[in-house]
Amino acid sequence: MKTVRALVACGGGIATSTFAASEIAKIAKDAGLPVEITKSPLSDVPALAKDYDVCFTTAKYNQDVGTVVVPVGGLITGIGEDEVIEAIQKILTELADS
Amino acid sequence: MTELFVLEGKAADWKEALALTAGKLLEEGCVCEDFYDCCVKREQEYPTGLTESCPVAIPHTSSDHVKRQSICALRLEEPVAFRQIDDDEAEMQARFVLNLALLNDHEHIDIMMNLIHFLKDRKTVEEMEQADLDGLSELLRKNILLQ
Repeated sequence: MKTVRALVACGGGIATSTFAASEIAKIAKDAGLPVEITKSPLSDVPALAKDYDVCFTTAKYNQDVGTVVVPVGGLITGIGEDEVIEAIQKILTELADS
Repeated sequence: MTELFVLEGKAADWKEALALTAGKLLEEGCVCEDFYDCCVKREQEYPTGLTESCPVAIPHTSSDHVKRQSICALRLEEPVAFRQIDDDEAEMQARFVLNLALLNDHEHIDIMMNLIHFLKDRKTVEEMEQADLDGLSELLRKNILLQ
């Protein structure tokens, strides 16, 4: 199993990404998946994405950055949260096994 | 230690609401002169309205415009529209503005964790609506700042 490199981005890289990064770390730990998480502002995503296996964003993000982007706003708003958690688990499992 | 200020007021739109909270934080010496402008700019680019069921917006900006970690909470007489944090093409009506002045330190992580968990609790908004101003301050202090 390999360690997944995950980028967690929000508008400024300080408020909601802080929360999302902690939640994603918890999801990975519960699932026994090794993940290395870095936080960043959304504006840095195009430049940074290529160095990561997956990019989680708390806001809607439509730009193609060459790395799979998973929206995780539901972690913040609570809307569709279970589906978001499931999607995070699924992508992390796939990447760790690849 | 994080400072908390709680206000009640009237605003015609989100910018006016933000002027009240950012104005208070400036008056208290917690933020730099450009804090309001930076929050507005950031809100336009990356909105912070939560949802219809949690009528709260959490405008903020980067830590270099902040002098002391603090939060100014505003309860509005009438809600104002903010765009949504997870879908910037959708709007929600905010009854509360929690203007966050965050430093990039360890404490801000706890604040964000507490804040989001608190706001996702279904009882929270009802309690925030019903409390008087002192009660609202107490509620936020206890649940977000754990003081």
